[in-house]
Amino acid sequence: MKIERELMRGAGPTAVLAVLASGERYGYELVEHLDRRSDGALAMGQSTLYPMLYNLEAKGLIKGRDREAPNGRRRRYYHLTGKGERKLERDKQSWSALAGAFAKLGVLPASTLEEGTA
Amino acid sequence: MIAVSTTSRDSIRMLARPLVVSFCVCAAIFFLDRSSGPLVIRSVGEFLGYLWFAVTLSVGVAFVFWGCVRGGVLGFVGAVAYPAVLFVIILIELNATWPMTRKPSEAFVAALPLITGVGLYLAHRLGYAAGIGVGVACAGCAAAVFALVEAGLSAPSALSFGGVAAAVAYLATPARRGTPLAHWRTQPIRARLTNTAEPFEPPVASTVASAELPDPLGRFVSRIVYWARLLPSERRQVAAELVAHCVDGLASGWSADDVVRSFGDPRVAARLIRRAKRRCRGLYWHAWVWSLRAVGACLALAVGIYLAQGIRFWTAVPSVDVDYLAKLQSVAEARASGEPAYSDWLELWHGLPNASAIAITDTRAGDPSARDGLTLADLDYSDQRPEAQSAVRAARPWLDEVRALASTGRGFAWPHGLTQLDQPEAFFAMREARDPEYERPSAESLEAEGRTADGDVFESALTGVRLPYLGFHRATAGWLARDAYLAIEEGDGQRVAESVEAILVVGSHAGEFPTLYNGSVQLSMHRVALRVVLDALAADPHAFDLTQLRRLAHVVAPLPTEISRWTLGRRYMVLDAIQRTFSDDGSGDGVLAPDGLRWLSGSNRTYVPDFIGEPGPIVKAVGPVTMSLVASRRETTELSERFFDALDEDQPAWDFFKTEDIHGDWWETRHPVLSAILPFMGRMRSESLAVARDRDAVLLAIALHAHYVTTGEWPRDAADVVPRYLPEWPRYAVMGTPFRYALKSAGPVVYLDGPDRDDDGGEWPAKLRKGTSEWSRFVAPLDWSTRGWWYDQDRRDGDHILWRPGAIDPPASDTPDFND
Repeated sequence: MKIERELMRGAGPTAVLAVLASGERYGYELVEHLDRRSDGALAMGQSTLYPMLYNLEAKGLIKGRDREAPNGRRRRYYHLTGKGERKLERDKQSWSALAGAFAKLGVLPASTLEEGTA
Repeated sequence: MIAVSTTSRDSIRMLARPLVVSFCVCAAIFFLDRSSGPLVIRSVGEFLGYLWFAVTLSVGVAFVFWGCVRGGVLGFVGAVAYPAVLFVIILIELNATWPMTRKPSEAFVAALPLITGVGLYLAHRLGYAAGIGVGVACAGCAAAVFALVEAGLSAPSALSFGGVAAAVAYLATPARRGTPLAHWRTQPIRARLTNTAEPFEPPVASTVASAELPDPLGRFVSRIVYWARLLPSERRQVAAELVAHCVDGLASGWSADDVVRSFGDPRVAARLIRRAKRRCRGLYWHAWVWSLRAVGACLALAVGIYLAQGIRFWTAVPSVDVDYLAKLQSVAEARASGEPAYSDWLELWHGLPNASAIAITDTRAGDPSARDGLTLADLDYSDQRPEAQSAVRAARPWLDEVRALASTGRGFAWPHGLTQLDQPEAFFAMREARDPEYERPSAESLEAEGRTADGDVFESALTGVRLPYLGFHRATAGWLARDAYLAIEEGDGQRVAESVEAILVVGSHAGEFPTLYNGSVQLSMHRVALRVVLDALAADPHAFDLTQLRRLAHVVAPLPTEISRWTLGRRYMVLDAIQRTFSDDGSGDGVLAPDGLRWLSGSNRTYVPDFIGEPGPIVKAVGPVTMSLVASRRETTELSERFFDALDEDQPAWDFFKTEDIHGDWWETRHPVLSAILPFMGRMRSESLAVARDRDAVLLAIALHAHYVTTGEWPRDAADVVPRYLPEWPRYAVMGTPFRYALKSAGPVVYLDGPDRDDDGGEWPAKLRKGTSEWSRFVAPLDWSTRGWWYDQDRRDGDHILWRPGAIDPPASDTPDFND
């Protein structure tokens, strides 16, 4: 299932920050990881991903650096900055609150509420 | 991939377009700022000059920064060049003793962009020998333009020179493609200034080529990067990242088409990437962009204001409601007593002798040819050549008629007209009778002069009023003065007195019409008459009997000298010009109208460049700007009224100008009507003061003579003549000191305090050499202007002798030196 564009505009940056929280990755890895971990729900076109990365970089949430990949090729790896980590924490709380509210409204299953308040 | 070599040709090419711009801008500024241009355009030109100067200054400051920080040693040297040039210019502007006029410095400022271009080039393109050569050539061009303009090259010629030079520079650089300027969109100025540009190696092509991507993917990446319009470093990074993405996609087993398809719309990607990358850029870049936006907004605002003002300007129509000529005519007629005599004078002027009979050789100018005419300034008691005396004797019957007509006491009462056609028929008849070659003006000839047709409001402007009689008045007074001098030689006091009275009458006729021209002529004639009396009294103590002396005193005493008698005409000329120049909103206010601008540009040739001729599209285009700069009708009217009120209260014009801060180009721009018409009155006031001084000297000399004729002795002091022959002892208005009188062994002397401002007993200064500037200053009328500087500069002993029997003062031309 694909997320609608407007919803993805809000969720995409948080998803990217969340993926990068586990370690630095380059663009193609990010695309693959998001696609695989979200069962395609958070798959985003590359035409959206790279501008998003540049935007996050402009805001100082992530930082890119060129280095050699395991396959020997040079790639631009992105990692979270301190500012990015704080932003991710705030986003998590916001999304949890949102999920809880949606659970209370019955939009999401009740288990979501328990997970959100846990 | 475009192959471009770093040849000198590319270097020349790099500078070619800035050269074109610089030359055009410099030439335009020279053209606009030339003094022959219309004032309003000069103002715009001056504004553009300042704007250009500000831009180059900004560029220069930025260059200094980048040159010092990023340009290396030679960049630093180049950076020093700009402030050095600026420093020299400031020195020129500020140092009053600098042996250059302001004009060269302005040209230097205008050439500054080229010099700046040299500095920028040297700093940015270091290492290229050809670049240095181009820089030197560039400086040479700047110096050439500077020299040509200073050598007196006209503005159009300078413009042509700039254009030709620019065209040559442009054509001499054939490498059109692949130059840095051809890539201006992808290699912006910032990258050039910071040495981050890659002017001769497109980065995307090399990156794509090195990855050996299949052709569709290579083109795909290149397009995205190209459409994103990024800085070179950004392009390189984005290209590398997209190439890596494609390589990873292919490595995952995707086909090239799958990679392209999964990426999405490349235009959308390029747009989003561009937007994101711009956010990543630094403060300097954002400041630059916002500056550009601010400039753009200002330009848009300026265009909006221009259009709004344009509507006001192009719809403004002047309305002529007051007939100021009729007002002046009524004043003149009120001054003319009795039946108008102008027609009798016209009849008399049929016989006006030809002045060439007594033509004066202009030895002062070194011109051996005889001047065809006799001016009042030519009159000199010493000039008693036989041929001149014969001519005067031959004219005596005509002069008797003149004296007889003058003695009737009738006023002149000339019916004034605004064009050559609006003159009395008798005037044309007189001209035709005197000169067989005279051509009577016609509507066609007037049209050829551009004074008729199309019925515009300025056909009947008061500034065009015709005063064709003044020349005849001058000639008549000249002949009368000649005859008076001959009468002095012949000891005919009665004829001298009658001639003097006739000159005064002719002068008063000339001055009936209350304009400054008329007043100036009257004053100059009166000075001649007074000089004749002084010379006659000096030549022969018995020149006049008591009756003649009394009559002369009564004629001379009431002579008017106040210039307010003639300022009314100029006041009305200004008010008339205002009503024809500005629109009228019904409450006394209004704005400059197109007709007004046309008149301002056409009435005075100095307001229009010669090659424009009639006001053309440039003048019309700047109309709204001019209207915005020019003071409103109400402000102009109030200022002119204040000026003339001050004149009528006898306040010197320059004092008023000083009070009102009326000077400089800005004032002329703000008040073009007043700057074109407002009189400065310096000579007029000097003349009036001189007439008042000579009048008082004549009255004093008459009183002294009356005492001498009565008692056989010269008065010992003032008590002998006041109040019996003179109501009060005269004072010299300029210095506020009384006229001096001394009775010496050689006779009496009437004089004024000299430069040292004390009484030196009635002696000319020692070693005052005739013909020198000192002599001119001293013997010339001690007018108002001398009070300010000359008396403060020259404190020599000696007095200014106004009159003494037995001598003609100022000394005759055959007396080269005094007391030398």
